[in-house]
Amino acid sequence: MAEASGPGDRGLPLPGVTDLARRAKGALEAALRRRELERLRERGMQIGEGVLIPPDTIVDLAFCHLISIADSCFFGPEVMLLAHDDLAAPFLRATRIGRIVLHESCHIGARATLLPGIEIGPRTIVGACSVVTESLPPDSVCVGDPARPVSTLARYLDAHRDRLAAAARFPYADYGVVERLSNDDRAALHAALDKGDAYITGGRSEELRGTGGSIRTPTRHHRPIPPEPLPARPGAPEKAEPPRQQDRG
Amino acid sequence: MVLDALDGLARRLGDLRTRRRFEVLVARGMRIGRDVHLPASTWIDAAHCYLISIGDNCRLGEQCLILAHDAQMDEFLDAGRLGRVTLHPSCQIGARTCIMAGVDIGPRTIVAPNSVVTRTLPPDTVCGGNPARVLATLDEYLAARRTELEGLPQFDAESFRRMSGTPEGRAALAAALSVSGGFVADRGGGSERAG
Repeated sequence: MAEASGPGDRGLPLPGVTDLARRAKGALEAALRRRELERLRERGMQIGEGVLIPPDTIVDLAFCHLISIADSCFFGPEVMLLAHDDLAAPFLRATRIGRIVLHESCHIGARATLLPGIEIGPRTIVGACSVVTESLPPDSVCVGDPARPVSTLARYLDAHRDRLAAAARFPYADYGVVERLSNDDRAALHAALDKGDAYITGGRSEELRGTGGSIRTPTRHHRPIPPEPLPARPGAPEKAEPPRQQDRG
Repeated sequence: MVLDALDGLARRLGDLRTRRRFEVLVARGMRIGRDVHLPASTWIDAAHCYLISIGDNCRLGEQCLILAHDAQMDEFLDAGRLGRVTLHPSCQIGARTCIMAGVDIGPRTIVAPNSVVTRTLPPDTVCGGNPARVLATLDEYLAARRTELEGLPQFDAESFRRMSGTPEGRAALAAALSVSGGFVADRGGGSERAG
């Protein structure tokens, strides 16, 4: 197998061309994705601002006007949104339909399945691979099949705050993008994980500044809640943060 | 015939893309051992692939998902947790299994299909469920399978392949298998491999 050779991947002999092609491909994919979301909106699905809804999300197209997703919601990979249930249709001669309402800042984990007739949040975290069959309360953490609340958001965040206080932290600007990681960077991350937890910090801030992170729907009117500032950690072995990219326009 | 040729071409292109995809992941620090069966349908956390390591002789079913980060708290805390995923040698992961950040599996652990692995799973066990828990030791499981094997019809791979190729053979197979099924002796290898 190919030997790991620093941050760059093996590509065409002209690095500029590879980079340009990659950027063009990225721009095309982003444009297609924007159009796809536009089509869903034209069909009546409500998608708020600052929503991260990846291309591999499976949306119930024929019934998508029953789905509403509020601002700042987040979806992991391969989430399924079903607004109809026709399992009994051959016997009842009727298909059950139901709305899926996601309030602000809901976080849906990878491969979760949302079934018709549910309301989630606001600020509810749904674990990976959960099956949501009933409405989930606000400010809670829910997991399982069927999904049930297992914790409150406050308790969940406290637990992570505690872990974060003892964890190694790596700024997003230096460690968040895999293409930019050198062998030394990767070794540093592995060394930190040998000792305990490791967190990538500042990703959300960069996203809000528009300097990095995943592609979300544009925020024109919505004001996302900024994340809370992290308490300083004495003697943190961190890279010096590089100068931020200037905001142009 | 034209459609078959086009289909074959599309398949070969798909294979090339898959191979390239795994090459890029390995160049970015992911570890894939020898004789690993890693289907093209596996979802791999590409942004954190350097935290994923798959040991020799591991086999994964279709459509597994491997995550090496958890950013559910990112919006509130401005921090996302990283976690290594290590599949030790000879793990057998069932189809549609989701593996979360920060788990060690195996060696020689069998994970049932559609499981959700949220915690480290011990070696030489059979695990399954959401969240995945130990269901049996590997020895118990294998003993049960061996007993089952004794009571059921067996075919060597070559004669099974020959029988599957003709209508008479298929009818004979169907008659021999009844409801409980049977076993095809595995000569080892033969399936597609990544890495």
